[in-house]
Amino acid sequence: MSGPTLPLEVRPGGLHLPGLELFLDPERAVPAAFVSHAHGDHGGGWGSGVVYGSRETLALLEARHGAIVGARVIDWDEKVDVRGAQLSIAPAGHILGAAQLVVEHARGRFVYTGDYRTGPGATHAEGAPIECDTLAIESTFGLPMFSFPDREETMAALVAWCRGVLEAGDTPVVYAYALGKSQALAHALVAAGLPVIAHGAAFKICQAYEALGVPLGIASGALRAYAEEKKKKKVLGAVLLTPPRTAGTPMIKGRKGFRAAYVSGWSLIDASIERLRAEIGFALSDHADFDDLLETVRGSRARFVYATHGEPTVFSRILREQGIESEPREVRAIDAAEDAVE
Amino acid sequence: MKRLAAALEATRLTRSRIGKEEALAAVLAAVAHDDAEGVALMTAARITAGMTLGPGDARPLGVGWSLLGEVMVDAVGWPQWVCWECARRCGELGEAFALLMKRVPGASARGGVSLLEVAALFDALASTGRRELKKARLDAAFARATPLETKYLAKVFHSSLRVGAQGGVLEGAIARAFQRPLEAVRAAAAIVTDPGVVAVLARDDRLGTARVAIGRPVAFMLATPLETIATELDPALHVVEDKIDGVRAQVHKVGERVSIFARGLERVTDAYPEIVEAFQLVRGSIALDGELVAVTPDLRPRPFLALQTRLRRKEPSAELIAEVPVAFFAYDLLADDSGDHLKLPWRERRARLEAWAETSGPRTSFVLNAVRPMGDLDPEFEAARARGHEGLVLKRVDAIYDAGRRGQAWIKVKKAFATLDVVITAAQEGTGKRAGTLSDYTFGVWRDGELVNVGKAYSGVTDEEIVTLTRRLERLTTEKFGGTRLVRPEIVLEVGFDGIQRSTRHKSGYALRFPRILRIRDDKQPEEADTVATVEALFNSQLETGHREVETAAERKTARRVKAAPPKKQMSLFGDDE
Repeated sequence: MSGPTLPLEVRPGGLHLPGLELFLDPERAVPAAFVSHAHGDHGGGWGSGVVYGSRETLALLEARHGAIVGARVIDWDEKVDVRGAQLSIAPAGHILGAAQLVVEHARGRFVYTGDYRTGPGATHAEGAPIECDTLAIESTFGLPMFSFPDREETMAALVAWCRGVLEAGDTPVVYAYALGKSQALAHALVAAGLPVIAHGAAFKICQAYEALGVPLGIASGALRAYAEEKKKKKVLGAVLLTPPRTAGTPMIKGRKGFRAAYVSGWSLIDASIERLRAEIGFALSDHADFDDLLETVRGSRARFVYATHGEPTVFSRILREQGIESEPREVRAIDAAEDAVE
Repeated sequence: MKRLAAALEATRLTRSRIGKEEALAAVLAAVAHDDAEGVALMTAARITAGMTLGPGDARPLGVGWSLLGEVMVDAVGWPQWVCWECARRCGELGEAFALLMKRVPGASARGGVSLLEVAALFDALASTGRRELKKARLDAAFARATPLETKYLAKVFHSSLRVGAQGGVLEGAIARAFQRPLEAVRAAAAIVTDPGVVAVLARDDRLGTARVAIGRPVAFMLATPLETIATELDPALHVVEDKIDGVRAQVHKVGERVSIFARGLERVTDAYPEIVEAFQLVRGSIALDGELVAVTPDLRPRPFLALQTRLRRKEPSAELIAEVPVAFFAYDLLADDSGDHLKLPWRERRARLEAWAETSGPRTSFVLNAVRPMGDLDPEFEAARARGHEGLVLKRVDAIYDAGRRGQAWIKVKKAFATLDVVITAAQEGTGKRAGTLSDYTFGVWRDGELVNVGKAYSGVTDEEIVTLTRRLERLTTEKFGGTRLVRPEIVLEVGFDGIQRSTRHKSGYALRFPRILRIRDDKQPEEADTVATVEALFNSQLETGHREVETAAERKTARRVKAAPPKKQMSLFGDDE
């Protein structure tokens, strides 16, 4: 039993690295925070004294909250000294700007993945395992039943479904998280030649993505905002990209010919589709599935693994049963903050 | 089974009722195509209804969670605790089983199991009491099942497929599959209550030959509340019975075998050994409709509360039976040795019932419910209440036994003001004495297949009941928001109230005034709860009974606002994880 080379604690506020006096993705303002990405359940620390994060993450946080007073950008090739340790970041794959935190210190290297996905993505850099001594890895889909199908094939199936619905004269409604998933889908749908109308929450973030150098098709008119099109009564004839919370609202409910798909890793669970009254699910996730998580753990060659966000207790026990030293770090789930930017 | 599983999956994902019916009709027609014996068709229809054996088959399958869990562990190769965690995340076992099965190398490419093999599996499971034999049969089946077959096969052992095939969808599918009138399918289904038999009768164009089989339940004929009846009743055409305050039941006896069926047509024979004993001694075969009631030694009814201690025991102890004896109050005769009597007028059925009760009815635990000519209802009602009964039932003397229907041939007079059967949709943690328990219940009634809330109540239940309800609600929780939980709608409550108001807060558009819980209706399925239409009728009836005054302009405006108000923010199942 070697134990962690750098201990990770849970304190009021969230995950905390005591040696560095640094919180990781805290739920509220703290003296010093690292924010791995701009989702609501990770970005609660935007008002902290110092907010470390990637340029893109801080820009997305500002798009939502206004100026981030404590912002301290860590460039992708930069090293920052904090209390005798060096901080740097590496792509986490998840969404634009999502970063893994790498901490080099006297006893070795510690990596915190934040929300994480391996494999390429069109709207953000690719996430990959980083060799380290102690790894803190998310475990959103940390159960073996979560095994996602091939991403490209799933995307192609989604495009085909949208096209089929449009050809039938109906409106494909695609439920996807406003930040990250919506942009990845907008990019793929526009690339496939389909017109896309995005709900205001998602559209605002699309604009932010474009400002950060990720073209999504707003300029060409292929990607448009729902509010504008609604005024012009041109909602039909395009894919409607909208957050899950709009299901059951007058925007969708009772509208003739509206047929819905849910695009999320959670769509593997039947109740999620039922709840949204969707007719199909596409298990296209911005998270690593169970096998990818395991592969990342192995690829990191870490001797000690913390499991964070999601199913830490279960995932960490599975790791232990496979001979990997591991402990869960349960952080309080944050309710309801479904969309990153309103 | 492969085709059926695919059709069930398509049905789950189809939002329109017609689409569901079409998907199921196509598979039933395809299964019937090369199935001379009808076994495959029968099995397919039963599985779709969430059944394994037919409702006339008294044999227990004996496949509980723990056995199925063991089978799952061996089939997917993950430790039990991982399997349970997955089942917890899915909210049920079948889905988790299927998702883990997908990971088993080659599972998706399997040939699958045929419906005939599945039928043989059900029969084999029912034919042995030995757990290891059951396990071996299940292991063999799941070793060959595809992931999708695994899902629905595992689900059917817990009789809920969750594909939205309830509420007459299956009947519609059978009608479509064999191009028969829906009315004929429904009528046959109410009599035989076995979707497998109905499907085969529909295929053979013999729906009109559907008959009661003693030992297989008949869908109960139901009574309409008096409040909702607008027309004058003719005393010459009606009789009056006391409305017994117990639980509805049928007692069937054929040969040596006695079967007792509850409201949802489920078999509850083992819960009432004294009734079984009493009927074992009677001559011939008989199927009766009536009510199970807790009684005093001289067979006088005791309050419903007394019966409640028996309701949740599947096999009561001798002490409990002695402490709370139950009697069957019979009031209708469905069939006997001379055949099926549903189509006889009530008058003739009653005559047969009386003759049978006199000559060969049971001597113990049995009461023939008295019937009187219809007179002035008010004193009748008071007298019935004084005898410890709930109210009155008025019956048309010339009416057939209209199985499965709530018609106007039977009319119930329950309370000065009506009660409603509602389903718990959410529960909240209590405070003070009730801290740590779920003691506030939000409940709803049905509208277009959806439960819409009509109120919230926290009084009327005992501390003991709260503890039991808390435990059950915890298991049914789908989402938590602080101290509030959304629950799977499975628990039916009977609530009393002082009136009904328009409401913008509740999605139904109505709110009950001072609702209180009268009892937990474990004898009722959630689908049997009341509808918004009933609430609306009661709301309007308040005018006539003087419970309510004519609506003011402001109230009417509120009513309009209810219709225009956008639904509350959709609560996400999984939060902002992505």
